[in-house]
Amino acid sequence: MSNLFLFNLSRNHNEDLKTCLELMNNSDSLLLLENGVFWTEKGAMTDDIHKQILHKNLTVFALDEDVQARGITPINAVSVNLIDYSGFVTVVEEHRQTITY
Amino acid sequence: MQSEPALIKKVLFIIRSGPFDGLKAREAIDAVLATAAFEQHVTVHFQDEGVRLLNRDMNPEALKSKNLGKMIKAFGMYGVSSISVSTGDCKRYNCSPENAVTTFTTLDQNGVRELIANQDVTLVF
Amino acid sequence: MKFSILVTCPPQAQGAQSALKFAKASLNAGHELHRIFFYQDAVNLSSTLQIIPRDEHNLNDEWSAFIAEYKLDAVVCIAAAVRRGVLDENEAKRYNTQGYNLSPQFELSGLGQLVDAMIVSDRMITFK
Repeated sequence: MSNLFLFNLSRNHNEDLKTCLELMNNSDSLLLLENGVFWTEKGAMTDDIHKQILHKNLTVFALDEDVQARGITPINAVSVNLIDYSGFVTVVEEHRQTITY
Repeated sequence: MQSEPALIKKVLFIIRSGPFDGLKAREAIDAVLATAAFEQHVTVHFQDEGVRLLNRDMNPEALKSKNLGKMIKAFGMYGVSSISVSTGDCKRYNCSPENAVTTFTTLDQNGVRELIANQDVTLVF
Repeated sequence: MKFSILVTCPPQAQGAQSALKFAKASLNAGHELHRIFFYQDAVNLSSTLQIIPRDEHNLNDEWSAFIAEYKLDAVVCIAAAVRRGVLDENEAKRYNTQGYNLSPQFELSGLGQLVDAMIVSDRMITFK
């Protein structure tokens, strides 16, 4: 069973997102929430971040409520699954550990 | 503690907070010691600024702050199973066996990922 | 499933609200909330002396009401709490302070309660 990583830091924290991705195993999932949803904006993810996500076949989720609150449009080369809190609970169920970076 | 069946979980603490960042590192160390005291299988991985906690040459007395190195030294006594630092962070933060408060193993990125994959609970501080 | 939640962020951070929303959603989904453990700056969520302007959302009150409604086990780390000025009646007596401020829905206890939560829960989720 794969693990779920929660990431809630804004685009000021590029290095943090990179080191978070380095800790992730193939097929793990990343849930962007709070200021972490800013990473779903067009152009937010640098090429090396993209590559990591694709190379490791990571599934990316973002909390829709936090996206809406910030007035941003998730457009990205990486496909992002928008979820609500009940989806959040389901994703937690489906992963072995939930690791908040 | 409640009367649940005895169970030992594998708990990994990833400590990323540095020694002069408020109470973050101090309270991470407290959580490590408590978890080890309750006889869980505890491992600690120091990462990023957290690696500085291992520096033996810290002398926080001038700042009247507690020497966290002494608490880390006690990890073994409390039964912490292993302490690690990633190879890259050792270089980046000038951390070596000679200047560290405790012995540690080095792990490459694969090793760290494997460590995480083997846990029941991973807490990042 | 049995869930436990660890909250470490201050009440002013969004994580304090995300944790509450997640807790509600997990009960709605039929899960059991074994314990919510408040550590580091999150201990202030249990203080009744944080006065929120009337036109702003009072998260401390909402947490207290939620814990009371579902009779949840809400534990505040005692060491983290007393050093941040969150005390119950016993601690106020022990340290001879002018008063105490812990909301009655919360309980002060040690980190052993966090370890217990890790041992017995199927899932441990941290908000920070």
